[in-house]
Amino acid sequence: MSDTVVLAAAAGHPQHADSDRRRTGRRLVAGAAAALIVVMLASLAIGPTGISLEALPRALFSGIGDASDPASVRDRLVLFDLRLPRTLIGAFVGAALAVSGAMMQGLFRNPLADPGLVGVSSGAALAAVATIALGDSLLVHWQSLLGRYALPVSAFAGGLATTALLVAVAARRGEIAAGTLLLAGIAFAALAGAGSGLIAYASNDQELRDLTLWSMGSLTGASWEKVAALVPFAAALAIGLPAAVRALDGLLLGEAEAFHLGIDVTRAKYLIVALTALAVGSSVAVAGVIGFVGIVVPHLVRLLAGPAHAVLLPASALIGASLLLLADILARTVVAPAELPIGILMALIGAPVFLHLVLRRGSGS
Amino acid sequence: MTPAPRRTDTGLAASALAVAVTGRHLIADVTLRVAPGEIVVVAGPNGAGKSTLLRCLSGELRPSSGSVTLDGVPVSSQSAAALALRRAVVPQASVLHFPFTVAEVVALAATVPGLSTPDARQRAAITRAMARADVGHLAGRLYPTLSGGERQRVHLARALCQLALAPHAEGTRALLLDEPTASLDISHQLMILEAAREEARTGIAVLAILHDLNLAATFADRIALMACGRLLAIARPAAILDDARLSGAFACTVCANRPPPGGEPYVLPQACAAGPRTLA
Repeated sequence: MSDTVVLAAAAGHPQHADSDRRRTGRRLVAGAAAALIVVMLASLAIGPTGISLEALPRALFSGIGDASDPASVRDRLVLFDLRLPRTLIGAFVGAALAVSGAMMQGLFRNPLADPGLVGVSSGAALAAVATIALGDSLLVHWQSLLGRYALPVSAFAGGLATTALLVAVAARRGEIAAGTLLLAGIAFAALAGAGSGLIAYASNDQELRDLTLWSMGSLTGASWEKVAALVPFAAALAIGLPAAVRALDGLLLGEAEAFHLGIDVTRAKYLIVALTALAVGSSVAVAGVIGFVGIVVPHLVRLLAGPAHAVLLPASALIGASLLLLADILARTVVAPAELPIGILMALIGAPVFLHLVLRRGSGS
Repeated sequence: MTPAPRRTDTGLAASALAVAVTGRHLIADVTLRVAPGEIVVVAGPNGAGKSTLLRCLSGELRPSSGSVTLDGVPVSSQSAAALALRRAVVPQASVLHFPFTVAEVVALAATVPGLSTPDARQRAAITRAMARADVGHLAGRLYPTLSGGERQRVHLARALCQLALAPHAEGTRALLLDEPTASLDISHQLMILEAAREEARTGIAVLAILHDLNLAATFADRIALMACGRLLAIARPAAILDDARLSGAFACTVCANRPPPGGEPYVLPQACAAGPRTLA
């Protein structure tokens, strides 16, 4: 369906192509929202303890009255203490990663930019790891000051610092060199990874177990406390993202062109960098480093509905959430009762897509 | 041309403009004014500072000294959004890795905050701007698949749309074009400059960088000749285009108003064919 739209657009049907694209965009957002609801229900129902679809509404909405039925009590326990927070966190992480990918690609005018690839996630992870390992020694005041927010705020700061460094290194006189961006990003990722490794090397076993989570990504350990910690980040993103839509569209043409269109480029860049760091930092804080969501999802949306951010951002968020939840369902069922790190699954899906993008660019299209 | 009594600071003006990067002057001591309804063409050899001047006039580049004013108000004191309501820029065709359609790129001009908003009026302005830049038939094409000349015309359409929607009562509006004819065939070169001429007729101050001196002679009210970062002269085309001045500025032998001595043919496009264009 959507391929025909792209082809029709390429063939040039002046009056129709544009409104077609807008309609496709609206349909895509609506369809992605519907799909996300289905996937969220599946994520609640599927697991080592299956909860039938008929039992799901009863377990979700019934009062505590029927405590006599042990199966129902168990279902409620599994649902409320494990699956519901995990599903909410998974949806947030998928949405945040997809949106941060879309924003970085707009900011750097490069469809290959992804927070996982260019070191932003690693920077956030380093800060998170440092907070965990040094939380009861060097950073004890930080920990006591921020409580449950210490981890996401640290990760945010780490992501922010890395993104700002990337902008400073890759942007020369308004033009961002794609090669410099990717290579500098690899260097940052390596540096941050080395930092995390050093801390892991100096840690005791329990801490070490926690730390492996940051490098491979996982939704294990989802809890209501983590959900609560994410709320302010989600709210800030929901408020900030609409303000970035016009700027991102303009920046795709170039920084000078964006300025000609009345966009305060410097302020727009600060906003986009801050939003990216918020999204990446908070998702790394709860789920570790998960790559490729930010590349695969925006790429797919652009193929279907074009690069306009009024559609790209919401559609990416919804599809990213679904994709991550689907990957998580796989991660916790394939080798149940053990779990696969979700980051490994995402890399299996994402790396080939990335390669495809690189090859397509190489052939000059 | 009878000069109407008007304030002397109307229009887009640069005074004693200088831009220095790491101690080297890209432009120095440039003073000029583009009056409302006037077309000023900036000509000169590569590296003369033409684009730097244009970037200062657009507000994109802050000069090291001197000032740029629009109707007497310094451009540097105005926000990007306020400036976008008063002036549009046709850049040299830019690279775009993302598959916007032509119509989407042009429609970005209608998103400037403060432009007149009724949807129907915006759509009409977009359609008309695309027709004037002869990109109407490309509306649904993806920008990255266009040729260089087509891209340039898309940016012209975007600028025309931005000016058409800008509030007319606020003061002088300006159109800046950076080598708008660089990758165009001769018919489209004329078309772009005739569009600029029409804009000027509605009172817009137009400044264009052109390399083709024949086009400059045809369309400019005044030509600003630049070399080595300085403004050598600014005057009517007949006064600028003389052998000695051009030969000096461009460091090569230039003959104005004479057929080639060897009798080779020479070509000078002069006017756009009337009527709708039928281009594939």
